[in-house]
Amino acid sequence: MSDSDDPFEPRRPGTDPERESDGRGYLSVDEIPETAPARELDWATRLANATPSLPRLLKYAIAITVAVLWIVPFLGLFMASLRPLNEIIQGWWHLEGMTLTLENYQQAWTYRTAPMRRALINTLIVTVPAVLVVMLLGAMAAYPFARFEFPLKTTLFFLILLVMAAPPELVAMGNYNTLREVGLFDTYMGLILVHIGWGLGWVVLFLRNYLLGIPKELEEAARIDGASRYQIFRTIILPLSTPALVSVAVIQFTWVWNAFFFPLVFMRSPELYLAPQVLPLMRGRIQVEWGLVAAGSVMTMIVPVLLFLTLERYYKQGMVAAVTD
Amino acid sequence: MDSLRNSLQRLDPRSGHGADEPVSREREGNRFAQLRGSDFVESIPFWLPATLLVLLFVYGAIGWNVAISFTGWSGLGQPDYTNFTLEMYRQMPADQNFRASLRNTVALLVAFTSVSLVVGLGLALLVDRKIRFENTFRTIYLLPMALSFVVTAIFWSWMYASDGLINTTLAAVGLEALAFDWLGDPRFKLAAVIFALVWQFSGYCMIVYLAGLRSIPDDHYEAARIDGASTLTLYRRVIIPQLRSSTIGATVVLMVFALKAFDFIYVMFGDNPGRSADILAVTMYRQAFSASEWAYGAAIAVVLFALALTIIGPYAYTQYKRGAL
Repeated sequence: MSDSDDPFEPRRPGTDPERESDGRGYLSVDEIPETAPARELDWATRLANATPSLPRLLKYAIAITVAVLWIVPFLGLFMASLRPLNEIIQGWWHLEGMTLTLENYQQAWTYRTAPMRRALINTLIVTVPAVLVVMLLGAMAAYPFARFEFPLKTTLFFLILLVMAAPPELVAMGNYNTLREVGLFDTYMGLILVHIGWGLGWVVLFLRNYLLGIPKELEEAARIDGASRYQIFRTIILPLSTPALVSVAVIQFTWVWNAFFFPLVFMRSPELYLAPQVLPLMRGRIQVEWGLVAAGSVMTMIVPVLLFLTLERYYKQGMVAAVTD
Repeated sequence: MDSLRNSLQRLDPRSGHGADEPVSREREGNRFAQLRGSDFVESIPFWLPATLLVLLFVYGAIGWNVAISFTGWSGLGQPDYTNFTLEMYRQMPADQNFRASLRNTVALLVAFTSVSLVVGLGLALLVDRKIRFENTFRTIYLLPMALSFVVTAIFWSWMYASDGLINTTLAAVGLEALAFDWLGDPRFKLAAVIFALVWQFSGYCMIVYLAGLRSIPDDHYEAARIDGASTLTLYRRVIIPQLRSSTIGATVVLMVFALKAFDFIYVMFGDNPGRSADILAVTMYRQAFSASEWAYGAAIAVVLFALALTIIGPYAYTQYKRGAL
């Protein structure tokens, strides 16, 4: 290669590449090895390659249109949360004379009936134990269903699985009464217990299928060495199922954090409200304060969305595994 | 018992040798068949906590709910469980509101599920066609799944508002005639809900289909190409038939999601959306928790459960026959 040869150096349009190759030391088209990057082609060929054919153009046009359609609501919410009400009412998509303010966030943070500050903490108080306990109990139950042979195994397994078929409305009234009887109504403990019972169905199925896909050799070796079931569970099963447990954690977290129906039925004191319960209140009755609602929505969704974006792989694995086993 | 087994295994000169393992496992099976009981005893602490929670908070609640539906209880005092009556179920067929919400629930199930599947399949095929930024597109399409129904309902009701983005866009491109009061007009209420739900869930169908597409062996495509199949034939004869199990799995999950559309409709319209958008879940909540018609609400929840079982029952049964569960 000659001294002035830089494959990324732009070429003057309109010059003949053949002549250039002797005069200025560029490679001619014929000299370029087949494995060379496309950039070393002359500009005309490059342009022809870059000009999309109709199907390709169509493909990207559809992909981008759908992506825009998917993004617009997020964008609108975000814009509205940062602008004063009088600007939003004229349409958040008008960019001229845009004023950015954190007023809405401040208002939502200290909203009078149920400030977001407290609602978000409340949601966290409910979500974290509901997720951790489901992970632990689910893994514990999945282990014997995947590895032991005992009478009643199939029956018990089905008993837990059927939970997935029951709509939440079906257990709302019964649990309303149960929690009243035991004095856990309108407490986080009650709500957490309902969430745990509710989540166990798919978690046990998912973890058990995951364990079935892991070879047993390690456990058998440990048993021969005299390890107890408990030791095997703690030192082999739990570490091996870490990826599946992360999937469980992400999905269950999103699920419990976003839940609306159970809190609506079981949490009645405004100071105990969870974030999804507060949002509809903020909307008010007559004049909707979109900025306030938007700020509250952004605050509510930021945690699960960030979690989703960082652990997307695990989220997808869990969601797909539920149907493709 | 366990230690006995271990010591016997140690005495067996062949145990511990990898090559003989299948034999020794089989022998173990015969010799210790009577110890199965101990496996059962050992397994109890693992599955018992999960099973108890499920029994109490799911089955207990379902049982209580069914019991209430057979009383005439309307919220005051204690229900009289000795007074068995089918009155609640008998009054359903004559109840116009109930019939409307049953019809809407079925319409929602069918329309939402089929549209989501079609959109999801389209997105999956699009993303699978060696598109650039595939990961970005996939993430964008799936992102709505991470949102709370409450947030989705709030910003879609904003999009649908008479001066919202949808109508503004229609006006801007000269289609004022198509700008309706989406959430006020009985003709469009349910369709508006379905559209927003499709927006939220077609990303889920996409990942299920993508997993299905990627599990089709490459030689199937090649064989079809060598036979001179056109792209259309390729899709119709090779790809779509292989996605059957993905479709069935996704359908079941979507229908279960659709039954949870409560959050969505409740946030958009409150607990009385009118006959054009009422669904069973909302009717149940209104009867039980707003009108204190406990027994009637419970009976509606039972109908909802029956609906869910007719969807999931056959699927669970075929999965069980196949040995997948």
